Amino acid sequence: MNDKEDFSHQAVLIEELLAAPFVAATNANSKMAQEQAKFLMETCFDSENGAFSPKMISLTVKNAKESASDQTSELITFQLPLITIIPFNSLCVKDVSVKFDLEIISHVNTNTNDDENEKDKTVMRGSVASSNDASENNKTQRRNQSKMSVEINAGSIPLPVGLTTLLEFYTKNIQLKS
Amino acid sequence: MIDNLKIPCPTSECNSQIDYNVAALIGGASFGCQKCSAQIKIASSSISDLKTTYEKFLDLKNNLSKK
Ligand SMILES: [Zn+2]
Repeated sequence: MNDKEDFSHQAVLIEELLAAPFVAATNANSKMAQEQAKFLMETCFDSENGAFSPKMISLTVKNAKESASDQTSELITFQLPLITIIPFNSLCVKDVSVKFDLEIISHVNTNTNDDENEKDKTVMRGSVASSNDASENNKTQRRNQSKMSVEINAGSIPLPVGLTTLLEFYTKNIQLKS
Repeated sequence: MIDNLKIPCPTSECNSQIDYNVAALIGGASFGCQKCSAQIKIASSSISDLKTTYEKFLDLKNNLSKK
């Protein structure tokens, strides 16, 4: 078996190599969303006969002006859902940054049509490049291969719409009954 | 800091927001409304519930960031 044959079996389609970090990030987000939903239901809601009601906590409010002149002024206690107090917005993936070198191992033109007007279709295969400090004796490092640097940045992921709506609904209804 | 949050002022017709910090709220701190001077504080009966939930939340966050 020559060097070319030995190395080509490690090659993967470039599209698949580039997609891998995104797939991993998506899976991580999916896992995070599941754990977050589980946490929400278990810690912020009470379940009874299949119906969920939000766990409430009590806060007190006092008017500072009144309390300055009247030390005996009573505190008013109000209740609000626990879910509105915990900073759920922070449970999101902020950035995904992946940087690696690609070695282009094969470069094949798949257009077998003789029609000159038809665009060439090229299939590129490659693998994640070895680090620069790899042994110089390594045969693969001495190959005449192209290298490509890839950097992927994904933006922040917002909370699910359902949860945002729920939080908005609760927070907009925080008001003392007079 | 992720713990710095806002809550609508509960005073009727104030419509302002009160900045608060969860850890400080659990510690018994008061937070005031800039508009109507109302001050909110957690009721002593709820400190334990909020503390427990917040600690679980931090655990979850730490576990997820490790994965
Ligand atoms: Zn106010």
